[in-house]
Amino acid sequence: MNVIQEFLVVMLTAIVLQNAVFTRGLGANKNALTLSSPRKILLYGATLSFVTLVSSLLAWPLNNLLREKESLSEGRLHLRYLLVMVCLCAVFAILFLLTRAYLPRLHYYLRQVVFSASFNSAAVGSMLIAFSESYGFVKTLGFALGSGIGCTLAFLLVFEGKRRLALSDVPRSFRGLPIMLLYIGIFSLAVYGLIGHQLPT
Amino acid sequence: MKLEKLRERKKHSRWLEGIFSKNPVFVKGLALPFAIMITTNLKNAVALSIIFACVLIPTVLLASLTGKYLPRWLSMMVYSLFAMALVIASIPLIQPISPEIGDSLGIYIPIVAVNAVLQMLCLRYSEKNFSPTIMALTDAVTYSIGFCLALCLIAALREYFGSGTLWGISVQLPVRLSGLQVAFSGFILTAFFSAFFRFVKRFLLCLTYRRLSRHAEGTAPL
Amino acid sequence: MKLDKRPAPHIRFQDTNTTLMLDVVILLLVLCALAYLFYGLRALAVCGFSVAVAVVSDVLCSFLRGKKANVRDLSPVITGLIIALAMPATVSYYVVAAAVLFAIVVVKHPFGGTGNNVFNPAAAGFSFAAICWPLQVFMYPMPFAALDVAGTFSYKLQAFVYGDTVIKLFQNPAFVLKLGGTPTNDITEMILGNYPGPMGATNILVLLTCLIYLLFRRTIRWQLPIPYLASCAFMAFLFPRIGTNGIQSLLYEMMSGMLLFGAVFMITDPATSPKRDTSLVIYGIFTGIITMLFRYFGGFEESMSFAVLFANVFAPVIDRYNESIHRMIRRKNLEVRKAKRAQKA
Repeated sequence: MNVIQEFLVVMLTAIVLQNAVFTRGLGANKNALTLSSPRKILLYGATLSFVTLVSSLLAWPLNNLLREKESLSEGRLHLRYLLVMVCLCAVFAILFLLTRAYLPRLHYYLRQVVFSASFNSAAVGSMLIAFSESYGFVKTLGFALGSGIGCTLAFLLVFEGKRRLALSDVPRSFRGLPIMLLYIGIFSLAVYGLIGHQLPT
Repeated sequence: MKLEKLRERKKHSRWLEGIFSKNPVFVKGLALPFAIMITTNLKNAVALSIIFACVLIPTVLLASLTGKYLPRWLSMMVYSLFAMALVIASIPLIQPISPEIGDSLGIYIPIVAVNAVLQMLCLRYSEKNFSPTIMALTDAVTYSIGFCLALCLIAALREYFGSGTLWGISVQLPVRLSGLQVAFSGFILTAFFSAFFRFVKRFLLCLTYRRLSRHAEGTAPL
Repeated sequence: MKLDKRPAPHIRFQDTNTTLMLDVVILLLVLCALAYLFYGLRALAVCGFSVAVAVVSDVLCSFLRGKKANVRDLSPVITGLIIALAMPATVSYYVVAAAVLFAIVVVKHPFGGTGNNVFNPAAAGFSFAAICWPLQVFMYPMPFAALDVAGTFSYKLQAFVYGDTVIKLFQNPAFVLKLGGTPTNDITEMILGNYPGPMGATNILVLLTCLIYLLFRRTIRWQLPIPYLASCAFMAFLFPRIGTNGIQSLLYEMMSGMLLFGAVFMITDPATSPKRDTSLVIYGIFTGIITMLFRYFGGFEESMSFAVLFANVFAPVIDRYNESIHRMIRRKNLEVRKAKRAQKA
């Protein structure tokens, strides 16, 4: 019961208070912000969440091994970077090859988003944050899943904003990317009112 | 229509497109996390630009050399791992700027290995039967310069008005907008710069077009 | 049959944008007069300065966008007055100027100006000022303190200084609630507005009168402010932050800070609220819950404006989903009716 509670609390924190897009700017690139339909966004978000979750599942025990080695004082941090990247690559390869071999219909849709969704700053960033905060196993998983879901919700919100802004008379040079960034910025200001202090990076 | 001539002009400016006309941050909207989050002071921006250049140029070179022989899914993994190794190798380069720079950049250093500019350029140059290596090198260099310019522009503004310092040296200012140090102003400033760049780009394009057409009218009597 | 020959928007009401805005401006001017009674000439100076900056920047922005400035558009005046009235009377002029410029230049015009804005400009401007200068925005003078028009706020003393005299500043009851204590202010004094607080947001009685006036003039619909206040009161009653008495908590929560001021003037902005009546109710309840959550867990003592910005994002979402639900219900009704008709036949 305690474990579930811990998991849920960390996940909610990662979704709302430490939302990857609105408070850290992770995962905000043009590919993600200009996805053209909610279905694509959901696919993108699901891939992102899956990759983050499974690779943090892989990386956490290895990172723990790394932490116990006393001899690596300075290089530990750098080895952690490499470890996270290797785990991400492994999960990506497994996902890509498995779906290509056994689920060709899913693979057809997945191929459009899988590159930018798995080699994504949100995936790497959330894992590294969880490791540098030295969360436990359950907390790390919760954080990884939460930041994936948070990213998805953020993109959905941005998509809704885009729909609303299509009705507005936006000045010509602001159309497209700038107005989206401004929209995220002002929402980020509102979220800052809830946090009120600096986040750990 | 004088669009042919315009296109020709564009071909000439192809060599420097990464700096202004296709600036990776302001016009293309790639690598936004860096532009938004770490630009609270100039030192961060310069340090990250150094790492960015050190990672981008060799990786794109590798992509243009080996892209023909690898399938796409494998190439992405290879480039990302290579980029991460380069990130780790280039961290000592930024230590002279300030001893605590590594801490203040935090997770944004390793994220350079998966940024969208890198992926875009790698994809472009790892395709079969695509342009020569020299073009890849030029693009990598110009995109790094464009990225550095964009970051320094935002960072200088945010540091000057936000904390009243520039490169760590305090500047006398009557009013300090400390809100500029918070993440949301990164979004807002990037948006405004982006809009400004688009406006200037469009303005220049119109100007060139008009001049060309006037020129054509002048030379052709009938 | 009588046909209307004019093109599409067949407006039957005599109200125009200008009259609706004028209603709000008149009420805000009443609050200005009240602020003049409480804080003297400085209150009027702050309000006037704010409105001047707002109007000038609005005209400049319209000019930059290549449009003519609309003389009948009173929305910059409203924005300026709301921002000024939400500040304490001792606030420095540059804070007001920064807030108004942020509201007009960043939040209003890039999104398309009057009627197109997604976020409430006044709320955004006030939030920006609150983040940049929390000391200036959240420290209030006592009413009837002798304030000088040219006085400046000094950071170090946390006091309002001019010449040799120093005027002491106090916290709003909202701050005491945030710390977890019980405010010592008298309830009747609070109803009459005789306690340190924002210039226009302390006098509960006048604010309620404003609300009733706007409701009867039909400038705003009752579906928005009433559910909003109800859900706030409900939250305050069920989860009191102070003591054990729900009623006491309710009274203090509703009267402290800018809650009522925001309910009358901020969330009722027609451009940023949903369009349907039922979506208005949902939006009101949602905003109320968000406001109270921001108050309970937020970083600032006065989080009304942040909550308004947060809720603005969800207004189009609520409108769209509510519309689709309505359509579904209508379709079901139609099918039922058709089935009945078929049975009869």
